[in-house]
Amino acid sequence: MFKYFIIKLFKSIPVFIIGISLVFFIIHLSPGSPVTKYLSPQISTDVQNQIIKNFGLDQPILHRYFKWIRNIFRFDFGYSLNNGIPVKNIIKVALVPTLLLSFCSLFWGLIFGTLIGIVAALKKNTFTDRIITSFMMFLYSTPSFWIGLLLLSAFAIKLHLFPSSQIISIFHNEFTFFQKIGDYISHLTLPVITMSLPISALFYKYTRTSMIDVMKSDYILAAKARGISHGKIIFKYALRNALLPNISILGLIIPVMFSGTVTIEVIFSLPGLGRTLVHAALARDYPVILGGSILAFIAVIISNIIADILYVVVDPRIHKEN
Amino acid sequence: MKSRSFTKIVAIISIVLLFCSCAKKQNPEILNNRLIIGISKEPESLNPLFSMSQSSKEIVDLIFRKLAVINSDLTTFTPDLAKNFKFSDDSLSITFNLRTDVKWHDGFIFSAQDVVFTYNMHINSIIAWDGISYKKNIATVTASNDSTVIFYFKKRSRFMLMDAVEGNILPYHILKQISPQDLKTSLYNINPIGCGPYKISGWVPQQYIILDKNNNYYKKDKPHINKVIFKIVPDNTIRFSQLLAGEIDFVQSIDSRNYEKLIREWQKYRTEICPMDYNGRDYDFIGWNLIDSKYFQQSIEKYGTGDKLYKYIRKNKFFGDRRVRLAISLAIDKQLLCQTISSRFAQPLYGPIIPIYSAFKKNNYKLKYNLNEAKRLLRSAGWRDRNGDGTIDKKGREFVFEMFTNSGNNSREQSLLIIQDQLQKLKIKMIPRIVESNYLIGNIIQTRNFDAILLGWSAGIKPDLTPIFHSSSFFHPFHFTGYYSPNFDSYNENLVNALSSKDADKHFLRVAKKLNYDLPYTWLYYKKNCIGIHKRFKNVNFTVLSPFQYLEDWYVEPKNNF
Repeated sequence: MFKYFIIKLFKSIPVFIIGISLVFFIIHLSPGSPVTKYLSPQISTDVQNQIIKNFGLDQPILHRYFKWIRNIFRFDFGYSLNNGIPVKNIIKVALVPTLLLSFCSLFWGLIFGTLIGIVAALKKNTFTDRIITSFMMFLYSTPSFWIGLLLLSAFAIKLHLFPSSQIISIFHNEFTFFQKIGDYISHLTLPVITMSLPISALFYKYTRTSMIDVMKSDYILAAKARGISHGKIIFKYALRNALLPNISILGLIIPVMFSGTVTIEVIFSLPGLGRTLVHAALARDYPVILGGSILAFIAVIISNIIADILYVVVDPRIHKEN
Repeated sequence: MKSRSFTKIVAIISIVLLFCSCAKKQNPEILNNRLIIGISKEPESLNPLFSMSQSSKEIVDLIFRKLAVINSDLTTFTPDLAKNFKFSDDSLSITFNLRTDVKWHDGFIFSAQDVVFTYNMHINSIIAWDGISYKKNIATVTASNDSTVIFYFKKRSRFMLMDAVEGNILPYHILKQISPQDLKTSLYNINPIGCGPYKISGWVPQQYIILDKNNNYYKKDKPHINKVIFKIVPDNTIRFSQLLAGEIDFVQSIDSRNYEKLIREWQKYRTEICPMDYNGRDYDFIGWNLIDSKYFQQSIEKYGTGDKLYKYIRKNKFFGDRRVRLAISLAIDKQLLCQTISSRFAQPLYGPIIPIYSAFKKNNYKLKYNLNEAKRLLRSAGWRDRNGDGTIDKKGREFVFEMFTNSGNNSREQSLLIIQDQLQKLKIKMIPRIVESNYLIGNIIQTRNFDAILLGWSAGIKPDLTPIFHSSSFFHPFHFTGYYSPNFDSYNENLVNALSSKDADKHFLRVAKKLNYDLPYTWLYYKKNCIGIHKRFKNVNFTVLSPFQYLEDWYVEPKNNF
């Protein structure tokens, strides 16, 4: 398994280099410039030219490219053109809320979607199934920003049950350990619900279909004939196979979640990676955009490898076949 | 089995709720005498040398001080770090006697060395300080002793004092250890030491900036508010909702729609947030492209940017003709425009003189809405609907043009549509184009590849239109109209060089008259800064420079002291 993982990783290196190089040239050749935000009739052209020089934008693009490639292999991602903070630090700080939000949402989305999917599959074509399916399709087709705004307005603004923004309270550092955990939970509850509802709808769709197919299988019929309990048939024999499509979705959904968090981060003012990258893109903060892109490429590669490994774990036949 | 799972679930939910309740009940947020200010984005730096956005400057001004502070009349000054100042007999130098009771946040004593060091940093080209133009007229700055600094000037000007005091004073004892090259990436930028009424207590990236009262502030009884917290909430609507919900105490630049709502809520006693507004420095206008952009670019390729200006100028097919610009200006009903956006938010503007300048009261010029005159002017310029398709034309060319504005600005986007509607009455087809700011300024304006742009400026404290209309800045990005008038140049130079405010007002009126005749811009409206602030704050005063200029005087009534 380890060897398989390493081979996969090495095969990904050319894809990674081509990908980040493309991003480098696309953003450097796109219209606009990081200096634009400093342009104002009040600022003299000498100052503007000095800023261009300070940012290294007076150098030819190929020179900048090779310098950048050389630096990233030394793990030097440069400094933000906006605030002079090392890109590494910016991404490190922004990554924590995004990971918390993404994985909590994925976890709850997966659990909720799968469980409801199983219920709907077992109650196939009944009134309960129709109600559940309609509700889940509603969640699937509703934009998450709208759900977010509804939750925000009801539970934060009107009822004051949860904070409406940020990931921590102002005096978070003065809290005890348990209060800090509570603080995180109360701040993340609404964003996680907002993000996990459409995810659960997605998992629901695949689990239901897959579960219905699996329940028709001969081995399930055989298990029923042997008098094995209903719960054991579902959770031990049927669910394992029914989860296979969910794993492939998991591989696809993890990279998408990085971009999917942007809306949630803006609505709930969470200091995540999506929001940071959107600001960087608008300000043409090249080092931050490139740092974020590198991370996104790594996330895609790693999540695909994890999905492959999970496939093998759930269905050992795949490992044997390969 | 079932009951055991159920018990587990109940236990987990209880723990989660317990955590939540712990965080809520013992939250000391509401126990302090504090002000929470909602801002849209994080400041780029808290070092005055690199804080370029208005929001950054407003925070920096609470941490640092200047030698003297300009008053809201924009002509007089109140000494701050200087006890007093005196002009020399020849009026070519100013001597500042500094306070000796000022300490930096780390306990070091403020001295003349800090002032001289700050001046040297301001003029250092590597730093690229955005206010360097203020220092152009200063020949040198010397310290006669620890509490006396003399600024020597190259020539007499009415802005000498403003030039000298512009820029917050920096601590020499800390920054002498950092080279100017390394300063941009220094930790000092996020954890600065100043000598202002507040000191930085915490900066949680993209979340909060927390300032604590400086107990060593030289004004012993100030500030009254213990903590000022800047809460970063990027979305306007959410920020406004938090203001109404009491999570934020102060928000500025509220958009017109939300401000109207706040006023309604306040009048019906449904909110504790008090709406306030004052004349800001921002105004919006339409900039016409007076020259043919293709010919301009070809000329630059041919002659560079150093030749006689007439070689670059060929009239724009639509707006090169003054009669067309005047016709369109007459056909835009500014009153209606402001009413539609919000009369509390925007007021009609007739020329470059906005209310913050003393010349505003002396300016009686108003270009009144007159559709018939506009139609007559267009006919005299040769624009008629010859083919009866509902659009006027001339020499086979239909009057169809694009007007650009930047996205994310509601009032400009609204204005664009209203103007489109108003121009239809002249049978002119205007196509609105809303594009991203960076693309608009970095590309469209730079290449001058446009017919008209709806944009806005924040007026400088010094009335000087050189960067946008003077021929010396003809190739600079913000002189994007291609306006060239030697008469205007000389009027503007007189305005800049006037030695008294009275003379300056006279020259400013002349400049305005010339621009109102030539109309490189059609000025639309000046904006008010609409603010919402919790009613518990008293003695709240705003100035055109910053709403927080007098924040050290604000206080919370004892009974409301949270």
